[in-house]
Amino acid sequence: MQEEPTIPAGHVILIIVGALLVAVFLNAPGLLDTAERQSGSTRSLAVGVMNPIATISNALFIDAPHQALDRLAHGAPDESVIVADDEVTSTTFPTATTTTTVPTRTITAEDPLRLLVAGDSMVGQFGPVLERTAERSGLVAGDHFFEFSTGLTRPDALDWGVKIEELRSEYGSEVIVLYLGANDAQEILIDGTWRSYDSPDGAWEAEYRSRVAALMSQLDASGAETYWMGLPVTSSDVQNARYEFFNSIYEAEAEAFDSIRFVPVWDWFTGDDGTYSEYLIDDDGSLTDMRLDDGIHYTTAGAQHLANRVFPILAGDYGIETG
Amino acid sequence: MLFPTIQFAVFFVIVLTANWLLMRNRAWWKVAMLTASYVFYAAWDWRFVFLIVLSTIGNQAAATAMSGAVDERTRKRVVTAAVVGNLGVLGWFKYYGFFVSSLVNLFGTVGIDIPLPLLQITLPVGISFFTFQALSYVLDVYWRRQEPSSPIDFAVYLAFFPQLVAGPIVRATEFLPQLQGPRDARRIPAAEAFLLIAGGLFKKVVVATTLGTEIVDPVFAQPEAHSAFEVLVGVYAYAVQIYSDFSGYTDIAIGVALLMGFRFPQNFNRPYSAVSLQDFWRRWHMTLSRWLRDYLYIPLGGSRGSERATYRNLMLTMVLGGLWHGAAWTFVVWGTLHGGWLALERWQQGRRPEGAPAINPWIGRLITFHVVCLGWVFFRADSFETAWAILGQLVDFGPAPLVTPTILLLVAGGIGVQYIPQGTRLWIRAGFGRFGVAAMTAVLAAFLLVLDAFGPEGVAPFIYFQF
Repeated sequence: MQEEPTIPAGHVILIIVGALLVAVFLNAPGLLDTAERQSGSTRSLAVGVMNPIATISNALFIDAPHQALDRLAHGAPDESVIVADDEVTSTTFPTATTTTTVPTRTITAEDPLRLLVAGDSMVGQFGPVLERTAERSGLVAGDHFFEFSTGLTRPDALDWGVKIEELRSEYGSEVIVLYLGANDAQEILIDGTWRSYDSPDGAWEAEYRSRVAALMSQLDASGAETYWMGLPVTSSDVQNARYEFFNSIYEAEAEAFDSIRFVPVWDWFTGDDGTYSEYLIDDDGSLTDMRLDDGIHYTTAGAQHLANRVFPILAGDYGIETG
Repeated sequence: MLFPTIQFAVFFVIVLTANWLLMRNRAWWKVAMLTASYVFYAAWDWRFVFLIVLSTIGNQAAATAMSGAVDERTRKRVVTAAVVGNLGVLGWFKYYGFFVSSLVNLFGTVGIDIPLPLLQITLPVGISFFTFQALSYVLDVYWRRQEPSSPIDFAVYLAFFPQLVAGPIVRATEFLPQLQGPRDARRIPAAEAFLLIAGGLFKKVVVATTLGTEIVDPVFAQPEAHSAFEVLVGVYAYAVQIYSDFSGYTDIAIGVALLMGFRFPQNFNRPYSAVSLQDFWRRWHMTLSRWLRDYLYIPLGGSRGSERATYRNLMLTMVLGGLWHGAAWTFVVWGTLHGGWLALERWQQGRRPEGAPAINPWIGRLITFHVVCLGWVFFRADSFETAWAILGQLVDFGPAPLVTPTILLLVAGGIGVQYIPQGTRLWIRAGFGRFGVAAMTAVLAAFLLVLDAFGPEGVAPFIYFQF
């Protein structure tokens, strides 16, 4: 039997460190992008390290193979959607391509209501379930889209203003159920300074509120009707304080638009004592696990519990029988 | 701290360097590795560290008590307490909600309202793995296969970070002897280790993540929206995804341990080339199969009793194996399906006339793969409703836009690699082993470049962490 080739431990460490260092320069664009997506001091440190490396890598064309492979793997980057610029301070809301309001029309099986469920990871379970629930009426055709770890504080990860317009145009959506905010307690770059969510001067709140209002304004102008989902009670008190604060912003801003309806979901996920409960009685009368272990996201049963409450609101507004 | 992250790369370089610098000073080495392992575990949730520390103290106390006991009765009492304690902790964290809600619903169907409290319990990552390792230690001490080790050795064994959160399930008898002396720093099987790590990363980051996001998640989230071909490919894709995800993790774990001078047992051996379900379980999650065989199936009586008792033992082992994977009735069905099919194979084997030819191996492979895939439907589905919907859609023909050439390539490739002979793998390893330091560095850097370019943005946690 052939003897297993071996080398000394020192060589092993040398190989690993060498390969990682070379890979850091080769993958500098991707790593800088990853660094940009961190939050707080991690972000500052990661960007501080990766910025000069990316500059050197680019100047010496070391990143050229990465760019070429990236194009091969993922196609040309869509500059209109991903804005990997450190200096982005707000979302870039485009002018809606359609500005007419949804005409009052007869919804039929042949010409169903076009529903879009969109948002962050909260839509992962909820989107397909609401779509399925709505489609069972025979009068709704649904689509859904979600992108993990996105929201209104980080347009560099995904610019929701641009994305929602893209989706609306692609699917011809008349009704949008939008679920954003779960990841939004992050720093925002305001006047060249990263401001934290709890900045005492209110600068963060003012900026965030303006972003919410701008997106609502864009949605209103597009002619689609929007159901803006509230954030749910969670297992964490810290998270609950944030989510209640965000919900108050969404609810207040939505009041300015006839086409935007805020959907408060908080109480649908509390137990008898009014606090978070992982297990709840579902609509069939069974005690059911509604939330994932993180205490934030929904299980499929939790998503169904939510869809069973959201769809009747939507159906009522459009005169659809929920049977 | 996930393996395919920059954080882990930095952590590992530091720990690997400390590992070899301190190797000859055994006491300091153990303290350093234990600290590193607790830091690794605390990266998920620092509170979990207390749990593993308590498990270490409790199980070591049991092993020491058994060793010092003068009569068998005391030893039996201690081992019973240790087994009940370990399973109790596992049950509390993993199954409390499942059993309480099942009981409430069961009594609810006959109109009885039982007010059992439902608590918010966070499942500590990897609890199933380190609990099984702790059980193997106390049971081996009880059966006198193993002497109690020193407390620090046992603590390092239980917490050793490469296998801590998702296996392989390394037995005390396999690991503790390797702690007895310093590992040989001059002879590291680097080619084997690097190929395991690189292969594991590719399987996880490119194959599993792509299949998961592009076809498996959409199909299982909304079966009714997909045609028969999409659902069929979605199920095959899940078979490849879970293999790539789990074997990828354990390959990385085994490779990481090799670079530190330790050898873990093999955990996967081309499972989708199995000619029967019995053969499949000799190739899939081999360390769990061995554990279930030696600590559950054989103590239950194994195949030593009547035919009926053997079937019962098989079924019990597989049902409990199913429950080990998750607190849901869908996992029970998965275990029952495997137990039932294994019993059927045994029954059929026992009735084959002597000298009669066994089933054609290729037909056996085809049948076995599809039985396994049927099981995966229940394993992956979040409810029976979804599982039945998946199976129902297999006769609903229509267009299949999710089945792209990339998906077909990954699914076919994921199954195809199972048929690459072991000799070819050894030949590749030997060839890579002949590379010098510079060439190995260049190849690994190029691999990381390809991985970053072809891998999706962000990597989902490994599927088996939840178990």
